[in-house]
Amino acid sequence: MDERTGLRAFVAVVVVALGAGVIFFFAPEAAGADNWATVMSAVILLTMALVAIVVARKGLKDLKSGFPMEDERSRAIKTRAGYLAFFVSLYLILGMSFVHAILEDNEISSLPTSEWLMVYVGIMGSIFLVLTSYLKRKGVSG
Amino acid sequence: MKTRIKELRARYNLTQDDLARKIGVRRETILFIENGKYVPSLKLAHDIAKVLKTSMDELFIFEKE
Repeated sequence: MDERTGLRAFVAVVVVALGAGVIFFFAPEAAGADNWATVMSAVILLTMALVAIVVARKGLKDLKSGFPMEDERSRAIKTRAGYLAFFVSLYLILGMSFVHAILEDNEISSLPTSEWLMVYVGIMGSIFLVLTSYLKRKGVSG
Repeated sequence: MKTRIKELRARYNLTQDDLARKIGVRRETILFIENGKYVPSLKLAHDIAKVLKTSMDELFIFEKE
């Protein structure tokens, strides 16, 4: 798998994860499952497994070619993406919590807190992946 | 920041892949340093200068922003 194919697979996985998150968030009855926490857990696990496979395959290919899997620039990208994802997630979660509180106050049907937490984790992970991908292309200062 | 890495690589007939392998970094790192999009650490700058048989002063040209 070349870098471009790997990147496409990476983007596809992120889109699937976000799509599943959107379905989970806005239309729980559409999927016909009773326990959405179980469905979302499966989606998160599947996403993590797919990402791990893509990363591992690319890493093995690099190692065979004589390149390290990680160097100072890729570490700088991870650090920067983690830092940005943390702050973006903070504001996003704050906003979503506000919406959640309004829904609860108005007794409008909403997800249980445990399921909201899963959505938050999914969002934080997706933001990190998207930012990592973006910074790999754009570049990051050392 | 500008660099003379590309010019010196050509002098020693080294590709980006060759240089990356010699100093133990990924090829993209060399590409981004050459394009001035990544400022390497002191150690990496030193390693590149050593492989290209030059000094860091000769290799990297810093411009006032």
